[in-house]
Amino acid sequence: MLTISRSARLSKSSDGGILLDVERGLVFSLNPVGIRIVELLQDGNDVLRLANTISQEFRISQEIARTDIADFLTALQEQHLLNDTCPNRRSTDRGA
Amino acid sequence: MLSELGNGREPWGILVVSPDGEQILLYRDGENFSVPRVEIPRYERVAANINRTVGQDLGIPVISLYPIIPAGSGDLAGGRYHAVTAFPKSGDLPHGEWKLISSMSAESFPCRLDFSAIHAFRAGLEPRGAEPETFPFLQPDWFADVARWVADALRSHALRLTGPFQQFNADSLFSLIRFDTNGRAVWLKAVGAGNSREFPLTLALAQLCPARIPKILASKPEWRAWLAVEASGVCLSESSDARQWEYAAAELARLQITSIRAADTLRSAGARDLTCDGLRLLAESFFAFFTSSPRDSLTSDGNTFRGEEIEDIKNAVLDCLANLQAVGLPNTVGHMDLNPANIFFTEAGCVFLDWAEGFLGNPLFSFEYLLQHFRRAVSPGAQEETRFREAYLLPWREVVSPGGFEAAISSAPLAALFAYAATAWSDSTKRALNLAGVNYLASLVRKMRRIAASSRTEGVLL
Repeated sequence: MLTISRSARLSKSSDGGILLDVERGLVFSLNPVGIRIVELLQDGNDVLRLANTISQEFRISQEIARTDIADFLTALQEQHLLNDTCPNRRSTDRGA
Repeated sequence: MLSELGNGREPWGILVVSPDGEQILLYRDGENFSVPRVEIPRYERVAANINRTVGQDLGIPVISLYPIIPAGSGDLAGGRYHAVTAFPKSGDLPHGEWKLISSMSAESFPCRLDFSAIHAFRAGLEPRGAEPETFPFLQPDWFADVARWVADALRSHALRLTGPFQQFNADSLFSLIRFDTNGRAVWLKAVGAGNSREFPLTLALAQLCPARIPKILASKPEWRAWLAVEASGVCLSESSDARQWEYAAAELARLQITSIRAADTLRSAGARDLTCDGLRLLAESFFAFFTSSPRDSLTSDGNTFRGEEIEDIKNAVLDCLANLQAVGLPNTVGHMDLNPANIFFTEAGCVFLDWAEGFLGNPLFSFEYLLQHFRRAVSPGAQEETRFREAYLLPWREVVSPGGFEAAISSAPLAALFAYAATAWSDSTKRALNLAGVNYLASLVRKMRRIAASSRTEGVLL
């Protein structure tokens, strides 16, 4: 299960917004798709649901949505703004 | 006090408040509370040092808000306070505890200034009867608004914020913040109502000479703010190479030449009037100040002026201004703070920063300012100084008839110094002029006296 870090704060504007990392004092730009992904994650949606919703709301193919979401999640992980609480994934990671 | 004087650092009480301004971080000792204290280097940027030190000492990132002057603090060394916003308030704190500001009473604070500072902070948040835009950085949660505006502005330039930022100046009126992006870093500068000329003048110059001003990505008149791409290249302050200084002098001339046709634009953008006509008018009131003030209030070192001395200096200044005007050099943009930290070498030429002291006037005034810094940085011999002056004059030879500058240059040092002093005096008369201010102005007048005397004996000034 992917969740947004407790230290992340979303602040929306008319055509995008920012994500504040309150523990490290960092600020990141988000475009409207990024904003929506963070909102969906905060609402507890899984990746499959993310792809469906993003695809529908932004009228893009599932494939493009999955690629964009994967890139965005990777960027969030690199910035320590994403937690992966999936037990299976953890055990896989430990085995790797 | 001793530690402040002895180690080059000064203590500050820090009011760490929540973004909603309702809570404050305090240290508890039984039933008593105190605000955190930090020490930062003196004479350095307060906001940058406070943010860094609070982050290190308290373990939480903060945004600087503004200094707080509590009632009764006077000039006490321990009377400096600064408000900061926790970024935003996080739940777990390694030090201290969050308390509701409204629940605190004076009795809880053994240091009465701590409570006075908190009281002053809270009172300062009340509406002041002005538009919110007048104090855009007053409320503790302003940073998110600013960051959103920056992010939106960057988006249209295919840039985005990538995390780190650094705050350099902070007050309820002004702000200076550097943001990292996926491209070059950008700077947000907001100058507030206190500096009415820098905002419009910077925008006007960016249109007039885009190659020599940092590229402006967006502006926000309500905050008197703009977002500019960081100047790349080498800062002149890092150079003692005479050739680089010569290049900067030539670039200054090119910038000024570009501005000749834009005198009206610069004037309407708020550039200070330091034309010879404008300075002649200022001369009367400036020197009258030194003859009409009580003598013992002029300087603290006993080095006062006699009325006839002041008259001589004034006449020398007026002569220089008349000489400069007779030569007929065009008025151009000028920079009364042309220190090398404000000049960057880029691949395309020099970029000039920080136009708070921009003016319209004789081009040699800025050159004189740069020349003084050249002498300090390079310690030039006679040949090097001649080359430096030649480098500045060369671009002008295509614009001004031969001999024009040569005729003007002997009058420039005294006139430029007067322009600088008159600017400082004109600004200070808008505030209460304290003894330090009077002494500083008096020191400039003494320097004028020396220059005027040397011109009488040597015939030339440079």
